[in-house]
Amino acid sequence: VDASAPAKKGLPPALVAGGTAALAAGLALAVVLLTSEGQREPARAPAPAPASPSAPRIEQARWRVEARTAGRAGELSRPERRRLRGQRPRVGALVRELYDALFLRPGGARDAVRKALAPAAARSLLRMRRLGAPEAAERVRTLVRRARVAIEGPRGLRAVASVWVKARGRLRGRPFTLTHRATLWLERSGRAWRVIAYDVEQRPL
Amino acid sequence: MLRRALLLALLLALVATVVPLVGRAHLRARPRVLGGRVHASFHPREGRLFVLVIGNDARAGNPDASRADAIHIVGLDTRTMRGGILNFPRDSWVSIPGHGSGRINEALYRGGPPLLARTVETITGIRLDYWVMTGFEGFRGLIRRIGGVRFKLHRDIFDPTGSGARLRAGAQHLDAKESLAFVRTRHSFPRGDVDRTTNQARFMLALLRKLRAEVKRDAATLFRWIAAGREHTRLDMTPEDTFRLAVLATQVRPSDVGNVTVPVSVGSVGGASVVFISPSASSIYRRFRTTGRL
Repeated sequence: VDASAPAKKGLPPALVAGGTAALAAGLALAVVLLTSEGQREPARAPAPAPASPSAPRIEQARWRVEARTAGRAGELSRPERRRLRGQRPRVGALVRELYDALFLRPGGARDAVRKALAPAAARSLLRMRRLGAPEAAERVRTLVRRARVAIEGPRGLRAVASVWVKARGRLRGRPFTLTHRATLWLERSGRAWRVIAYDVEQRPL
Repeated sequence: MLRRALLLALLLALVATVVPLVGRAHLRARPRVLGGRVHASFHPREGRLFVLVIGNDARAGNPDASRADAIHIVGLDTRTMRGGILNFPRDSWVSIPGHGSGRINEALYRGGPPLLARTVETITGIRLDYWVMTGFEGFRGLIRRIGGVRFKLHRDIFDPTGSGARLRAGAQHLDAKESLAFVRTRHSFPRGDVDRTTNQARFMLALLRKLRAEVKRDAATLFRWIAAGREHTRLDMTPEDTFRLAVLATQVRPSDVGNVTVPVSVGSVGGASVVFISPSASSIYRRFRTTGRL
């Protein structure tokens, strides 16, 4: 950086020196961040290796999450509607993470349940042994992944999600099909949503 | 002349603006449904929850000087999701704390829902958590808002001079007016008020059935029910409590809720017809108190 060039056009030297220092600091920060990202990468859990080199990647059903406002929807002001719209992705993300863990990463389901549910609800859900795909299941393929989310207006502190998941897989060499329907009742505290109660029906359970 | 016309127009505009506001303020001050905590602190014991449901005989609003025509304790064990509705005939002769003996429905007249709650607690030994009360207007309003209730009547009900009920036996849809007539009817039943109180609990179970059916079809309906309830309700509980209680209700099967009326015998006190609660009721209270079920 040629610090003298802008100075010739009349900018005070102190400002030029400050700008240069800021630019240098920004570059240094970028370098540090990039380096640390690069260092963090190997610390992540390795991606699950395919069962055999020839095993194809299992195509999962696309998540379809519909979200809407419930309660006094017709009487909401524009900022209220905007605030509620802002909550939709958060509830959707919670549902997706919970169900992806239950069906596609059964080993990590306990942690996902504890993270997404309030303690009493989590304890109760974890008592249901055969929820989601069995831990020993292989080649689980979700056929349907749908959620209908309704967030109560005007403050967006409570919500409900109706979830439908259908999956196929193999357990000890035998094929199985699971149909799972659930109603999750959620409350928000700050930015965090949590499931406080649920109603689950899974066949076969 | 122009000034006078302007003044008149201004006055009319003021009247047109203020009069409806006064009317609304009146409605706000007298909500159709009232509710609150029986005790300042809320300690549901081991997952058991008890709510006193009161129907008063006021034609409009919830004036202080009204008597209770419907008195029920709704209990629930939140671990098993089983519960019960314990019904008290309004003419039950009981001890009212601080007021000697009297019909149970007088407790509401003498001390409002808190005294009625204390009376029921004294009789049963059950610590109540909440009370909810409505009158004729509130009941009709709520039933109208939820679009009526499907209900199966075991017999024809014809009570033109009392409740005004003219209903045929069989499964049918009851609108707000018919629902109120049904829960008020006692002349058409052999055991009068005892049958009426049992029927009121049956009607509550029909409401629960409707709530569950609608929530099953579309879970967000619950928010509409809550919003409809809040519109004309003054509840001394937080929105979180309301939401959680409503969610609890959706998870209770009507078939898991017992409907029991306290056993009574007919008698009279000073020439007035009353009913005496049988001593055998104590075992019902004990079971309800310890299990939340009937």
